[in-house]
Amino acid sequence: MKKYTLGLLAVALAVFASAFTVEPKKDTNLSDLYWFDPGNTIQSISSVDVATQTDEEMNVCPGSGRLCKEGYTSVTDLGNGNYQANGSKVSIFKH
Amino acid sequence: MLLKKKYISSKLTIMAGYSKWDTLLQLIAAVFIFLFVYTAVSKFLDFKSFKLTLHASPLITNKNVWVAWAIPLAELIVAALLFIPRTRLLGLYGSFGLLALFTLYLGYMLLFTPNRPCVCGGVIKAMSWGQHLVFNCFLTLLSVMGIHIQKRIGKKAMATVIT
Repeated sequence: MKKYTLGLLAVALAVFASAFTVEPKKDTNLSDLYWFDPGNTIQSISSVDVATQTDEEMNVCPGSGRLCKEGYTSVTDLGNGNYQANGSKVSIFKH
Repeated sequence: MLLKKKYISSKLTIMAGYSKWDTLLQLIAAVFIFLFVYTAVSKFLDFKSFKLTLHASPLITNKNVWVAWAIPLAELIVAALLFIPRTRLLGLYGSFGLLALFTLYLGYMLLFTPNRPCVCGGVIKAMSWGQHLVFNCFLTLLSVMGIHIQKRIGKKAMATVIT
């Protein structure tokens, strides 16, 4: 039994730690998000409603790599038409 | 009588050495058990997001569903192998294999991919890609150390049985 003590302790700690550090993401209403190009956290907010795009349209949307659009839950108005992304981020990927 | 005393003292020395290395090995195994169970459970708890992130990875894309199942399951299997003393060496080889694979993946992503979605579990997500690479290299070396210690203990145990 002594041989298993450390292992059992490690398993218990791991389950305990994961239960307190992982927050499952809630379903976000995509139409409530503010859309930015990938990698940009300051820009004028995109007028494109990614949530209503079809899969086919998603294939042609801009952005290098595979990220297509990034939605943020809140923004700060910086004036001169630019906005700073705030809040949690939801990424929409190309299919 | 003297011979018997000498035999007992040499056997005790072997046992003391064995115990020290065995404790260190148990600690290494516990570190890996913690790491693999923690990351596997974290992935399962946030499975939907994990699957989506894998889909965004240029090396995985459409294979994301089975990779999303395979990674945490492999981590749990390796943790179980490390938990049982008889299969610990196999578990250490498994740890080395998984960590080497993750490290290669990290290296590839750092070198060739501009948009890098993090597919790690739990608080490890908070690390930068560079930090993650260093962390993985350290753990890979730790698994190599574990393999050496396990082999050393195995040899000592054999020597004790033979004498």
